[in-house]
Amino acid sequence: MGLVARVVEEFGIPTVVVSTGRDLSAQVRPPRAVFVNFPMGNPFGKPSDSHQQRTILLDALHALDSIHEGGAMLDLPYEWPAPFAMNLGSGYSKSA
Amino acid sequence: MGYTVGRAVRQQASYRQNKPIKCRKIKKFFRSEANRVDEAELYRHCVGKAGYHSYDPCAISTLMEPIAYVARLNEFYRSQGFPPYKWTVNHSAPLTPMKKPLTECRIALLTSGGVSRKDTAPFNPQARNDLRVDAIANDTAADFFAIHDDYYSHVDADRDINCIFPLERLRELAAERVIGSVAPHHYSGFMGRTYIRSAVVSEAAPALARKLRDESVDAFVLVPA
Repeated sequence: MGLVARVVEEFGIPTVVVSTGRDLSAQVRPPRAVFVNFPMGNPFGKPSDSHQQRTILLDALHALDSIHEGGAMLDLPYEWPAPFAMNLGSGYSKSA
Repeated sequence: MGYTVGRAVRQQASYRQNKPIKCRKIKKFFRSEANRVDEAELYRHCVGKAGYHSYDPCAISTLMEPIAYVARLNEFYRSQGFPPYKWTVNHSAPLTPMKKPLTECRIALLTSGGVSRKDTAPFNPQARNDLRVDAIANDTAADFFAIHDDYYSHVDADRDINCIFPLERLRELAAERVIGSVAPHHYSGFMGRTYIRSAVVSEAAPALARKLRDESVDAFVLVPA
């Protein structure tokens, strides 16, 4: 996905990635990213929590203006209510 | 929340040098050495030891460090007897400045979460090198999606698509004139497990960029899953 962002950016359209994998995004280095320390299936938070969803979307949109250096990533301050493990779904356990 | 984007921008110096972020150090300090934080002590610590001048209680209480996905996935591939995964590592990135204020921008979204409209074929979770990218009309109802992806938990997104693909929130921001408008189409694709990255970079992504340009999209929000 970071690769796609880089191509679109080079094409002349500003991009921002909303990432839940900080180290994954740091490697690919999309032009702009915001990191949310939430599970991978919840980059905008929980179902029906439209306030949180809106807040994170707004943070991402504002990062379009506030990031002036390619490859920068902002850490957003939101907390998932409980510690969570890597849950990549059944795909990995199937092949495991 | 005492958090500011300005502060986050200052963190970029640490990020670029691959150093831990100061506020995370602070969080760790208080996680390990105190169950309850005395605010005056916290303030002294933030300003004194870390040289960190923006006292922000909200930044201190985070319970966990980001998950080390790269290390965990490397270990997974190794345990399966797979050759080491060749991650793409970039040391710089392009940047195209915004040409107009957000209030005048037309915005589109991209999800890689295996999201399809109910009137189209589902994504294949087992696919490799699947370059399928669907255009999703902006007026699609939030309950008219199906998610087929076995590589992350989409239990919550199955109930509310806005957890990964915040269509309804984006429409609200347009209605409130926070953004200029929502693009006629959003996109779903690039599901991962793509081993032929040149096909993404030289074909699928440029094709998508042209579609965005044709619909006068001013900025693009990408949400990996």
